[in-house]
Amino acid sequence: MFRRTGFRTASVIRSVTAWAFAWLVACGCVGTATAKERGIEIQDLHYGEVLFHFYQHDEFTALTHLLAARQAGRVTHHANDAELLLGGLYLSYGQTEKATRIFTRLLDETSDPDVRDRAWFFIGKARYQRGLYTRADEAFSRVAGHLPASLRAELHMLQAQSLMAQSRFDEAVVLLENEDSDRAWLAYARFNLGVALVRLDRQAEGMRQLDRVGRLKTDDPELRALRDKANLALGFAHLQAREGEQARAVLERVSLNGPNANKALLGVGWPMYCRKIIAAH
Amino acid sequence: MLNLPCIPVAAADRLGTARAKRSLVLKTVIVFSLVPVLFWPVAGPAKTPLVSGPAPDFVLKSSTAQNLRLSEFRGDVVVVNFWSSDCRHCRKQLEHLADIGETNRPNRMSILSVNVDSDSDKARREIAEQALPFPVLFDSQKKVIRLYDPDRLPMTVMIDPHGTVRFIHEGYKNGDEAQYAQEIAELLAE
Amino acid sequence: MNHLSQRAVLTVLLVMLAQLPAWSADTRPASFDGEVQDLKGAVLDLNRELFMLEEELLYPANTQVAVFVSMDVGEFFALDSVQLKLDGKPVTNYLYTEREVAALQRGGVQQLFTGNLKTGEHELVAIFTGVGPHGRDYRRGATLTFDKQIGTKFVELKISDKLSKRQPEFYVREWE
Repeated sequence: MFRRTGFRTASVIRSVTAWAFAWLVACGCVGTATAKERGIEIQDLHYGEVLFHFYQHDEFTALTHLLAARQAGRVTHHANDAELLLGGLYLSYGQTEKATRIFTRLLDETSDPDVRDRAWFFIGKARYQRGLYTRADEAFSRVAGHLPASLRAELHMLQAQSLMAQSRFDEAVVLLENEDSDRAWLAYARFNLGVALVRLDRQAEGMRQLDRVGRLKTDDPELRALRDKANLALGFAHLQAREGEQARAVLERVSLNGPNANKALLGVGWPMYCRKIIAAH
Repeated sequence: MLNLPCIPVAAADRLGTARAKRSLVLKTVIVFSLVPVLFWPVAGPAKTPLVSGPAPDFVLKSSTAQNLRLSEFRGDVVVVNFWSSDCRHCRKQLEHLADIGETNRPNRMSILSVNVDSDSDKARREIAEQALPFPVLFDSQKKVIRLYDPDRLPMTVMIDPHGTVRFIHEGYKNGDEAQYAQEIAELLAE
Repeated sequence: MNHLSQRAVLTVLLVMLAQLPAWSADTRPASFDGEVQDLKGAVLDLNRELFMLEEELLYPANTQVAVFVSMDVGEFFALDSVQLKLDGKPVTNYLYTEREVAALQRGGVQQLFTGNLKTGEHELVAIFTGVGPHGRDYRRGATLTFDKQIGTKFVELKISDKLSKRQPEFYVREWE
């Protein structure tokens, strides 16, 4: 698993991020906090209608309807929220230039700290998606602490990912060590960091990150799959280091119903087989 | 039948901007493209071939007490099968579908079994008897089966993760389940 | 979108996509990434235009009536279905999935029905069924008599337990 050649760390991290983002969008963990969470009363029915599709992860429909509603002047009471949502949707659809224009315009037009923080967050995200890591860091550093919890976790993940893409692993470790929350976003960042550190021969540090993901308590099927992956990676890292018992303990955490079950069973069985061979001789 | 208003003559007065021009052309094309649709034979449109097209969406009450909508399963390979309690071949097929369901449990595959009995109690008895491991949806008014329009039961439709119909089977005989398994594996591997 | 309008939209989409280069921006993007963004942007613009045109053709502003559903329930309430009758005629019987109910719970608003009505007095009857906390079944109705003027008419059906906890009711609000 750690022997894949031909992958540059940055492109691996970005492709995992893209996949992770798609899943996190699907689980509703990304984007604006819900209208209810932020105590917003829907004042434009058509804005609520856009949210109805957005909350069901039907982003293309949400985007189409939002563009139409804006053009028809049907979201006037939710101007800033609609713009932020539009920018976020553009970003998830890969329209980074349009998204950046929207957030830049919002920064010019408003002093509302909630809106400004979200605008800086999304500008940073747009830059990150385009591989402009130092500029992404600059934008992220402008966020002043008014982000809703769900976006805060994503911010930390993106900051960690950006650092990793610049090979600044020590800083990424510090960032993630300081973050206690085991939210979905951070699990992905920890997994990526763990894999990257192991590949750089910093086994102990990498395995510490993977172990944290491997101990995640979750019912979510996607997170369970990530946990299985982490335990599998950790298990085989122990096997490589000839730490059979630690490998077995970790591999036994892998779900028997998941796609990684066979590999985990192989990993558990192998040292047992080897011990038998040694005992026989 | 669509209740179309006349395109206002005043629309021509708004020419002068490229945008208005484009809008008028678009409207004209829509109207003309709808003309053949409006003059379809009164007996109804010919049976539309389903394969390679989007699977007609539907939502029905199910044996899990949830209402289930086909389009919410996008991302999974979906097997939709239509059956009735009176159909002997259907009941045989269900056993094999149950096995296929079990085998594919870790995979991104879902089975939506649609029963078309007018009396859903009969269907519920059958479900209990067979201890089916997948949800059964109740199409007692036969609205959904009309969308798929089979010539005979059971009808088995294989849908890919993008919501496109890829394979259709009408009827069942021993050994067909091997074909189903192969098709599912093919779609999962894509 | 119904089957007929789906065919119309598809036909137009094919025609429009064939003509796309004639309508694209004058400046050519320097990078491949820029080209992909332009293409995606064109698809979005087209989809938006088709969506707006479909509404304009099928439900012109002067005669349009639209009914929306929203939820504001503190305790968990699983909405099962909503039936609508307009002037005595059933117009929709909508079954809700868990995902849709969750979206409503989070503050989303569903556009349940769109149609056309002549000016004058009309009657809307709405019935919702669902399961409340402790597995209790609910069935509630609301009737609205309204005067349709020239112009769009929006009606919001809100399922709320604001006034009476654990007793969800229908509240009807007309929007201009």
